[in-house]
Amino acid sequence: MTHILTRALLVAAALGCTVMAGCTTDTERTTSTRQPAAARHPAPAPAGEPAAADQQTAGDAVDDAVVTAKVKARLVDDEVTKAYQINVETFQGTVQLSGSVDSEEARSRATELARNVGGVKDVKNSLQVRRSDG
Amino acid sequence: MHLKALCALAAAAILVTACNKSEPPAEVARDVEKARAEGQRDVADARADAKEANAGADKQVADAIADHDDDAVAKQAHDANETYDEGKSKIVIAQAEADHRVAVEKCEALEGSAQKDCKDRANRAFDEAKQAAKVNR
Repeated sequence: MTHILTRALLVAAALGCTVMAGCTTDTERTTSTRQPAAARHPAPAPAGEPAAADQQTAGDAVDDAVVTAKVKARLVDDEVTKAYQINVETFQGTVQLSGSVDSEEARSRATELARNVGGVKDVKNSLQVRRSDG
Repeated sequence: MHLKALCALAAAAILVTACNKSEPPAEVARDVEKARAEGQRDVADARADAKEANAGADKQVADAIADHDDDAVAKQAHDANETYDEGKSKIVIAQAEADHRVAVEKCEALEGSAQKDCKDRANRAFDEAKQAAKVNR
């Protein structure tokens, strides 16, 4: 009788181990598919450096400089916009126009010209229309 | 002499009746599909050519910027814009040619003057698209 009881206990213990091992494997599998804590919560950018979304590689910077040069060339080549000093800045393909022009036509023409440059993703027009008095 | 004239007339009559005859629908469908595929390939080629040309032109601008040569930057940037416009125009024309080819093949399903009118319309649309591509450059 004692022998049977011992064997029953041993079988129960073995079953328990098997179930526990299965549970552990599942837990480990679940954990391993997760990203490490560091990847989930990237460290903040050091003070003075741009945040990740604003970071620009050297290649991007060159591309942006090329886009800026091409937009400036378009503005200089155009009959309407060549008369104005229009500042052009590009960041990750988005062109920012600033300065002043004396007509709405010149302002919208500048946007149209900048949009029609290879590599331009968006144009933000901050040009001020300054009406000449008389 | 009389026989020669008769032969010429017969040949002309054969040619006239052969012209503007409608093709069977299955043949039209096959030709349209072939024209569509060729057109898509040509447009893709034009896009690839333009991309390559733009990359080369942009590199010239980047090199001039690296050399801190303002005059060269202005010139290369101007040239890069020309290259971009040219590539864009070629893509538009390739698309217009592709559309034209498909439209003409579809006209083959029609007969007689309807087919001729259809082809004339396709030709006019093609000419207009080419003209627009030149104007927009």
